Amino acid sequence: MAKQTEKDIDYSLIRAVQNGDMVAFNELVDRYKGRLMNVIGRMLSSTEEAEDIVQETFVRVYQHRQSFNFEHCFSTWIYTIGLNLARNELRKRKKFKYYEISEMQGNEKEFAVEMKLPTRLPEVLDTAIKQLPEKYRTAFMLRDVQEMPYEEVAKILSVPLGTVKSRVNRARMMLRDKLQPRMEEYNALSKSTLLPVSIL
Amino acid sequence: MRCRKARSYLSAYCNDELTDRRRLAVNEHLSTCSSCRKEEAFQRSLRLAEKQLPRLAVSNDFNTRLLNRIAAERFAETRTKAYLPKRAPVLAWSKVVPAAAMTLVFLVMGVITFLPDKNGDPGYIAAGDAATSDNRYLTVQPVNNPNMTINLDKDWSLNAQLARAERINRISDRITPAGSFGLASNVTQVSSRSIRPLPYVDHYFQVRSVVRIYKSTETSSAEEDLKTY
Repeated sequence: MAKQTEKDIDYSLIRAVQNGDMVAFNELVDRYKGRLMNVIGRMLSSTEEAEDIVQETFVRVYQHRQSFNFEHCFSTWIYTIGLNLARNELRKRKKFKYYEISEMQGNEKEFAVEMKLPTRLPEVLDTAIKQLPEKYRTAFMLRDVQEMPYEEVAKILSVPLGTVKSRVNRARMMLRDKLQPRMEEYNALSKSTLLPVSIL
Repeated sequence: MRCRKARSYLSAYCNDELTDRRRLAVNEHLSTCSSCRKEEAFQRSLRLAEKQLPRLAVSNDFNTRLLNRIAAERFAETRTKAYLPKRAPVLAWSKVVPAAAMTLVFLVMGVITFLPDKNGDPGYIAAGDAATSDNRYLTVQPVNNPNMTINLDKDWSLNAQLARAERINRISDRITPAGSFGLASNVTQVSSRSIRPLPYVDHYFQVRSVVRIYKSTETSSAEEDLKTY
């Protein structure tokens, strides 16, 4: 029932945006900027680029506001735009190698010491998620982190329902295989609050 | 249910994604297997960690920058619309139809007026011209071809060429009958064994007879030949 209410709110907001209401557009931005950043930020692993992609997503939503089909879900539509932009950015990265500024500085030892090392399981999991292959990572993020239904994830990714379930299951197995060997060690070390230790 | 199968269902079990039948089967296995119970506990801790993942947030001035960009888009849209007509022009059919009809009439009249005349000179010898022979198309020559600068005043029709060839043959027969050019019968090959005629003699003299046309003593026929070819 709550989901249905959210859907209705989205519809009323987009209808107002179509009529030129910028306050409604601002409200839409506030509703979805966090969710989009949560997914796209983990796809690109660079906060600045992810923010640019999220901003571009909203610009595209505004540009094509009149072509929104009310038979579909607004969240499906905006996630599809955002993920397509993120994938295009990833494809661009494969053609041109991007160097981080820290690598170019050449002071790797200092960089390693200053880096904040993960100490809690969520942070360890976060690192592990970023190391998943792109298609498994996207499906996992949408299903397990954003808690979207399988049907909606299938529409966003434009793949069959069975494929989504398979990818999510595969992502869970990969995370489990990655974290399982160190699980007991982690459990013992995480009880200590004095020494920050990196598991991965 | 065996451990391997039960563990394959554990992640779905922890997310309440299994059917009732399968969930009961996994439950039953977990009640008897301690290692699978440990695995289940690990899966549940992962699910809990997923909910506690650090949420990535946008910068504080995200909305401001976005709205500035949107304002620029709206300004661009307004500027574009200013140059467009407010309404599409409505066609006045009462005026369009007569104008189209007049245009069509003028077109038809123009086509009729400037249609090429069949009897006029199109610049080249047309095929199937009734005034000349039916076979003229076989030897048509363009008048304006700059490469054909010689013998333009000659008649190159098929009949004329056939007539010319007939004249040449007649003249060559008159001068030298085929196979007998005076000395032809006397030209033989002398050998130690026998006397026999030279091969290709007749043909040789036949060829020569054509050449001799130009050296004929009959001036009238020679002049005629020089004129024709």
